[in-house]
Amino acid sequence: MNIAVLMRPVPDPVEELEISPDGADLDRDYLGYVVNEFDEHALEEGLLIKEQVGGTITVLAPGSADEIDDILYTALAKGADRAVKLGTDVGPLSAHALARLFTDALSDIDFDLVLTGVQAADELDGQVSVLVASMLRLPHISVVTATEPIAAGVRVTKEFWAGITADYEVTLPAVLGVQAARQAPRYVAISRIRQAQQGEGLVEADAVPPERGSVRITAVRLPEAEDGAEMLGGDAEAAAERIIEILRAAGVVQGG
Amino acid sequence: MANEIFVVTEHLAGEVTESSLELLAMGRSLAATTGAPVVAALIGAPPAAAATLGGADLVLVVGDPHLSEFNPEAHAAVVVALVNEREPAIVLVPYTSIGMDLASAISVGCELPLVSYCRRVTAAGGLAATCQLHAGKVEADVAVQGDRAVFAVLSGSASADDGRVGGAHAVEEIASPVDLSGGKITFIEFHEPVGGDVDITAADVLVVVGRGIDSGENIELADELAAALGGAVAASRPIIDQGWLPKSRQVGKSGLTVKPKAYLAFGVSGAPEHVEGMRDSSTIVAVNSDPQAPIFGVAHYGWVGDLFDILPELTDRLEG
Amino acid sequence: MVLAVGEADAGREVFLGFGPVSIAVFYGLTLIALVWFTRGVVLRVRKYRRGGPVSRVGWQRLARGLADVFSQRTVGRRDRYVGIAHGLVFWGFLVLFVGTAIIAVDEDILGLVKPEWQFWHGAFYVAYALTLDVFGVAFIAGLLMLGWRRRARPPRLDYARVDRDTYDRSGYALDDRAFLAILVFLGASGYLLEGFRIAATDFPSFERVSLVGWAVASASTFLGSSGVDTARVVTWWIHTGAALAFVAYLPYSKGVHMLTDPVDLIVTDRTSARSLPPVEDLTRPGIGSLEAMTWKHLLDFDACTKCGRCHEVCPARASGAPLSPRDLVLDLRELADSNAGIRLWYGPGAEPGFAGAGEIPGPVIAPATLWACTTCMACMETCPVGIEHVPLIVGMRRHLVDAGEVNAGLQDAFQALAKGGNSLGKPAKLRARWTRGLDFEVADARTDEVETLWFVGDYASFHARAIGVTQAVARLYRRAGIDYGILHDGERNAGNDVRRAGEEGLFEMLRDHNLAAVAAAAPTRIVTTDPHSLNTLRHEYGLDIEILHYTQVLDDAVTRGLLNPGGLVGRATYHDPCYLGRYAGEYEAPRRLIRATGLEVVEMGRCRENSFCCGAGGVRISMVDEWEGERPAENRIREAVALGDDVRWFVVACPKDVVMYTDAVKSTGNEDRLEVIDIAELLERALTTEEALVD
Repeated sequence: MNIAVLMRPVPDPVEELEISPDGADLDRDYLGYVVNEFDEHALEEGLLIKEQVGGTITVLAPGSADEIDDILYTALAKGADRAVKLGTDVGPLSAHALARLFTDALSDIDFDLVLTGVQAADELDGQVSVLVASMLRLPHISVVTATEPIAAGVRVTKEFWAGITADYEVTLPAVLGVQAARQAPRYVAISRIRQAQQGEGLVEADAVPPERGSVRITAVRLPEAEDGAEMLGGDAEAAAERIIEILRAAGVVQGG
Repeated sequence: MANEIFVVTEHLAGEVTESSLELLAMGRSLAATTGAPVVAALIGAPPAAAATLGGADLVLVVGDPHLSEFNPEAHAAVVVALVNEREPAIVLVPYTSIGMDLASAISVGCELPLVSYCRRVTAAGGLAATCQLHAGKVEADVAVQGDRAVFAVLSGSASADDGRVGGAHAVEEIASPVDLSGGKITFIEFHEPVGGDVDITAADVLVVVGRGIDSGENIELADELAAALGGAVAASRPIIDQGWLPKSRQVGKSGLTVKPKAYLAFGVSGAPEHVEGMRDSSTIVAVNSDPQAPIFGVAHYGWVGDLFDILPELTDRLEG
Repeated sequence: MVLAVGEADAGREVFLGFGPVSIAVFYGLTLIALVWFTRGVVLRVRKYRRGGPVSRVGWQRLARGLADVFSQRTVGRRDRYVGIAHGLVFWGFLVLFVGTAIIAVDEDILGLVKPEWQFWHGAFYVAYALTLDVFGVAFIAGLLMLGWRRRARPPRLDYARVDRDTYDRSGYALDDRAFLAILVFLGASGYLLEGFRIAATDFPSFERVSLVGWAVASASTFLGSSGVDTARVVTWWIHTGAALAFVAYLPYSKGVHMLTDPVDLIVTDRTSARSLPPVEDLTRPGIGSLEAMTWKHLLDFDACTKCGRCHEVCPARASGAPLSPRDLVLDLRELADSNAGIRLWYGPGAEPGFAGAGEIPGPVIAPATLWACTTCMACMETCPVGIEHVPLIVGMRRHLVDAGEVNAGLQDAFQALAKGGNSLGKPAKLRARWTRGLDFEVADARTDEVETLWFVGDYASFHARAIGVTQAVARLYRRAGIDYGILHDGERNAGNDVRRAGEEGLFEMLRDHNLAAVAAAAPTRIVTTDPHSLNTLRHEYGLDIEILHYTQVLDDAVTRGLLNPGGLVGRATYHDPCYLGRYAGEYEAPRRLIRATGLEVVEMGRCRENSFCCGAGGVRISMVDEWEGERPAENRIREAVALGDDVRWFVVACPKDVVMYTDAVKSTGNEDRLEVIDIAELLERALTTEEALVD
């Protein structure tokens, strides 16, 4: 089975975010990027399928930043066969623009299955997985937590809520939005990534930055914590004292 | 009928979700601005399920054997056809496992702009929304160019009860507007969640741990506090994914929804997926070392500091 | 046939009263024994030759190794009883062996080629007889001491396994007992033979020096002269047969350690854990199979005598982890032997499935076993024969990391290190945030010229509890007038533990970053908070400047009167961090500092080079202890508590210790009994006290 995995960088969720001077975006000068964690799961699921039935894995990622090289070389080191870096300088893209970029690139690639993360934390205008599928007129399933290659295509587990899941069978080609791979994404030793950097698995493909679309951010805020909670302050002892009072008022701690 | 507010509702096995009712409530308040009718699409459910959708002026119950269980391909085809046919101004889709398979498909299939992660949608002076990005750490005001758009709305953005009433509530049963035979996706079966050791939905007090707990062995500290309070330990998704606690302890969208009398969160950042499963708790106390953590937005009381300082302190005081 | 009697020409005949057939039978048996012996030795040498190269030559190494062998000091360390007993056996056997060799030379070489050069008679013979008799007694006494010890079944000699439920170690116990028994039998039958011979040769007066033999002879006169001679002949054959059997059995039994251990003690490298070997082949890093081992690894396996000292001191084993350094070595020996076609006398001994196993981590050594190691080096320190466990375990970890087989905690730590340069997953730019808690600025070594570069380290920079210590150190440096700076967010984890977890590529990445930062700052010396950083900066960075631990710098400041602590009253115990003690050899500076505060230092049983690890090393601090036993840090706290009520302080000198033991006093419920305090905090308290007194 030939698999295309779509990956994109997102601002590092660990870092503190700051607002740009015009107030309409994050301050991207100080942002660190990491690979979207759902995309890592998509790659892992792809690697597991490849281990089961063979085939090739092509990884695509947009942009020119160093982070993209890291993402792609890591994917190669983990077992992807080819990595394609899309575009020279596309900047932050809308989900629609990103989906268009991926769709164009997929026309040059022989694939049976497209895997990508179910969502990304900054996808304001849609989910890339479903957008790509719809643009290519392919069947899609979101929130996938397991796959099983079968003769007719792939058997897929989709998660709903409250722990309820359902199984589907999909004929190929198809697009899956992966929530979680069957197992946690594997670790790849740094020396393997370095070896991948010496290899020839990474190619650059020209891509035209698509239109940004018709959804525009007018203002960005960091929600004030104090909006919601009454902050207790003080040291741990003082706070513990207050919390016990609160629990007493809530009727879950008896006595006084 | 142009200008209408088209609400895509969802159900599992005929049971309409709270999120659907919340969207109807949101539809009603938009209708108050625009004066347009609220039309709900109920796809593949028995007509009786339309009874709860009192907030709709019209409920379209689409019946077809291919639609009785959720099928991303078939349901998307039906919704796209309906939206193309009715040309509504506003399409509201729940940002849930089902809605995710529909919203972007409508956007492409009907060539409409789409706004995801919506908390609030307004129509006065152009279509606009307020969205939660970056796992709730950022709030963005978004303007849509043009007069029609699709909005994927986060759960909990409106009151479900407000969606049960207020509409004309006509119900119309229709056949699928598209031929659904020869689909590429076949529904096979549902799996119910496996039962766990402790029922966290039944506990009066929950001690909930998140990523900040650092390692599995530290969950002991939470166990001790829960024991002192006569409550149970629950967790957010990262803890479950690490295998430190079983799936039956997960609070949130893909886990369980809980409403305890007291909800004590330690090192839980408060991503929307988690908040969805706990925001109705009577008293929420959050401890986090990051003053920007979104959990403080939903908590009633918060303390910024090291959970390893306060957890044992609480246990000691309760035991002492 | 010459019977030499009389003082003038004391001596004895080797084959007294033997016909040519008997002599032929003797030489025939000797030949068979030597063939078997040689076969065993050849098989083993061939096994070692299959190992990869590693250079272990040098006069110093030879001198130290020989000194270890002949002084028996590595055997006697911290176990005087066994040291004395084994010393008696060693020297007894050595002298008896040399004695036998002398006869062989005199009889079988000189007797054939140059009879006039034969020297085994006269005064030499008398001295010879006396010496052998005395050392024979020592030999048997030592053996009996060792046998006696076994009666009490010491825990370290219990072969119960910690990593699997089903196993058969009966062969090992049998081998131990057989080895002892054969040696005792050889000694005892030798004396009997000597006694019967003296009696049969009518008590030549010069044989009085053969004290034991003379006594046996005197006691055997009741047999009558022909009875004594028959007894002599029978005993001769029994003794000789047993001796030849021993020769043949030696390379296929525990006896092989008599050959391997002196060599291993000479070729061992006691610094191999503190500066690990580099990865040679990047495409196949680490030790995944026997083919990837060096001859020293293979020799190490044969050197093991199952003495169990490593098993006893291992903190992982003590906490119920599936790791025992002894079992690890024995498993690998079984694998290596079965692959080399070496069958031991008591059976194959190998676990089923070992034979032909290609992959070692997994089928032979479980990954959980390898990840349990804290790299504390207690096993290597205590090993009396120079086995190098830690580099071996790291080698196998390298293989696991390359195969992507790492557990969740470790993976998180690695990924956090690759991204933010610290194992705690904190953003890199927050590294110097702890300086905000100070009321003065800390110089930035990247822009300011500083003499001393303070390499702060991860836990000291980021961990809430350790930050307090770091700030105390900063204030102390300032008070002592030390001209220092830090790299702020230009510092990365030094990589010591990453390297020991087997992630060599990540280590190189961190090292290269830090080397560039250090080169740009161009300090005259580096001071570290974390002893782990100290080790790798000192031994694995190739830096050519002085690198010290903060306790050494503060000790110097106190000695020179730049800091004048004092005024504290009471008793404290000190925990030697593995990487400051065993790895860096610094035991005194921290103790001097504690005494300088006025406190008395009370030692725990396990102190200095025998210190017991807190359980954090080798990135174990980032992993979950999935086993049930008492954690090493808790074990240690109990040891400290047992020192008595008046020992109030548990003093440490490593940020990871601060974290580990602060938790452990809580989890063992000893918060009121014992205060975990870093030396810097203690020193600051002593300075405040002192000032209060002065005021």
